[in-house]
Amino acid sequence: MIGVGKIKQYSNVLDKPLSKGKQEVSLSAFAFLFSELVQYNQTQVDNIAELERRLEDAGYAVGARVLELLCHRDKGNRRETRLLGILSFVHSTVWKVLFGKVADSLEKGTEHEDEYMISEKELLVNRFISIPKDMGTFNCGAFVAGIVRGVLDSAGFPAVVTAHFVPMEGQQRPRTTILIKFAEEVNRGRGLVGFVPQFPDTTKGVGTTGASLESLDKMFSTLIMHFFLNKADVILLKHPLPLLFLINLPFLLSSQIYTWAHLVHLNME
Amino acid sequence: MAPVAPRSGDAIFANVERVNAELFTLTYGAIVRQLLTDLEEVEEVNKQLDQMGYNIGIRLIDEFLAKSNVARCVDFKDTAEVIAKVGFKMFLGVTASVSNWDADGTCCSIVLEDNPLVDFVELPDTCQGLYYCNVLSGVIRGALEMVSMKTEVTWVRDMLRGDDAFELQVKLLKQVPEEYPYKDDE
Repeated sequence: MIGVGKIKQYSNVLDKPLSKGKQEVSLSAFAFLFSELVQYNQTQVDNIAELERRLEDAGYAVGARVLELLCHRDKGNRRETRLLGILSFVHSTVWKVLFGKVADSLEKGTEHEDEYMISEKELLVNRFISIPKDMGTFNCGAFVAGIVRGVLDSAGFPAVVTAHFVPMEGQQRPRTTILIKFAEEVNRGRGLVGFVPQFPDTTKGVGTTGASLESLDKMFSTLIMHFFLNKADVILLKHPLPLLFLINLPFLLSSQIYTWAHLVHLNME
Repeated sequence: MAPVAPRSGDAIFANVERVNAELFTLTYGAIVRQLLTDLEEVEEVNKQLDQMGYNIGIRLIDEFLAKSNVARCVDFKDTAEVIAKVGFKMFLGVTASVSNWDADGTCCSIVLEDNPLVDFVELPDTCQGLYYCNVLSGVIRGALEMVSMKTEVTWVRDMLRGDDAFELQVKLLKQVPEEYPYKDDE
């Protein structure tokens, strides 16, 4: 819009309303900038692995911010807590925002249970890049791999993410596959998610006066619901629960309930 | 074939491929942060950003000329207008205005109404000397050098430093005459 008037000034960047994310710049502007990123990093390293690591680091910074931004703007501050949920979030939501389209495919690795692949026939960052022969398997997709790692890591799913060229039959240019290998703790059955319920301090007067049984009931049903919905391994409670209640709910005892005190203790060991 | 009429910045921008500005913004942020970590000195970062912009500028001018069909600018005033109205729009999707001409028409200000580079950005106390958008001044300098104009581009106002707009001062140092014949062996 021309002549809409001066942009309002904000003393703090947080006061500024969040943009809708509809603004665009030309693809060449991004391509030029990205090429400078690669060229600058080339001057800072002496081997390919190092160069890929640096691009990945740059991407990681982008990914961590993209997660924050999208969760806040599009998902009402909710985050994916399940493995498949976060993967499809990356594959569709993140991809669509960053690259204007959903990724071509999301597959589970056939050889390893803990590996997933996001493939793209023509990755945006590789569009204008040709790799010299002497640089072997170098793939600028490392930057996108870094973005994916940044999103996953910040969402609580640490993983090793790498980018590879995969030759395609009948196609001149190979496609790029982003390989995601989740860290061990993620693979132990379910996603490791710390869930911190923010309940009011109702435990204080249990059994005597204070909280009514009704409100405590409600608190527990919320807790249990979250436990099963989110498939978390660990539930963190803000306040140590009175023993009385745990006895009344024996099946809860068998699942892993930790209070802050326990965790502090565990950390000390 | 009849000469093609110059196209407006809006028309070009509507026809080129585009990407989400947030990807661009965050990638630029990642670059600046990487430079700050590597080079430590804010002054060095300013220099490096300018150099990167210059590298971009000397390549970007080709695309600009190819897509915009602009005729040769008659004077520096014309050039500045084209940069502000066509150049900025075509690549960043924003418009700039030109003002503050000096008497002999060799120095002016390009004022940005909107700047996609600075979304989400706040300068911490340790980076107060940083010209966050220094890449832009490099781009202008590089691009103009390719069309035989030596310029000096400096920041006058910067919203990240508390000013009310982004203002770049572009000063024409000299016009380098084109040299003929070009050497074949270079």
